[in-house]
Amino acid sequence: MKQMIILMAVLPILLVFVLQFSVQEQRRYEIARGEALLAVSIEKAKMEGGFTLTNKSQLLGDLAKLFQVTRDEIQMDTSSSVKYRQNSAEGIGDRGEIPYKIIIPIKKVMAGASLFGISEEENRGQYVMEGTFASERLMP
Amino acid sequence: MKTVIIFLSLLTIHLGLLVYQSDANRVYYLEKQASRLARECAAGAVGLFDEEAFAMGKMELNQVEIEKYRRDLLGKVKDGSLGVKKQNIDLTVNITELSGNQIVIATAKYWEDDFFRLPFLEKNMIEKQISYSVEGRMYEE
Repeated sequence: MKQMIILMAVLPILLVFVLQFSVQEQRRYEIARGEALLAVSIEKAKMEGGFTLTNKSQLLGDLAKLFQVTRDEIQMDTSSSVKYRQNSAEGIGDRGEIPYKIIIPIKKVMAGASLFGISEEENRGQYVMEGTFASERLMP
Repeated sequence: MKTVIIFLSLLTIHLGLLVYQSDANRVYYLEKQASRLARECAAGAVGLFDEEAFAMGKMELNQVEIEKYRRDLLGKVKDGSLGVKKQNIDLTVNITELSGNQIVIATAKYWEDDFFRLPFLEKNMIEKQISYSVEGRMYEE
């Protein structure tokens, strides 16, 4: 009986670790897939001189579905004007460079957070994808 | 007493595995970010042709502009959300020639004292190389 009582107390603590492993593994898959989606989107944006509305909305939709958040929760900052390929790094305009910054909220960082008294607001994180790439669209 | 010892040893093993997994995942995310940085640099650099040589019928890369572009791109790198400081990130560009084609090799480096918190594992450098060639536009990781 004594062993049984100890098991009841110890099991939840040890089970949290198993759950945490799966949460982290899922997160790794999501981020790897997200990076691949972004790479495809960037290749399109290079050709089109910037993130077009279709491209942007498709990327946001895919990311939202993947990370299980709503589309509005993902922040995406990028330049709205079309950039053209430059032959020099100090050309006209903004040097033909397209900056982007995508912030994806991660809602569940820790498994079994309520067991340790961690609230839902505290159990949050974010993944940031940020960079600048050169446009390849030819100037008309 | 036996139960306590078994519980504590299980807890230690679990904690060790968990710490290892999170560190390994962080290294994996940083590798993804490093290869994105290197790819952006190489892809942008390979578009900077020497206009004078082009007028003479040659496809040659403009090394001065590529250096400017590299410095500009490195200047835009900010402190990462995964805790890597800006001064621990470096970007280098090499231009080589292979069977008549010029190749741009961009290398992104992230370094820290140790990426792993466990005592018996050590990794202090993440390095990703991407190369683009002027003809064919092939690239490899």
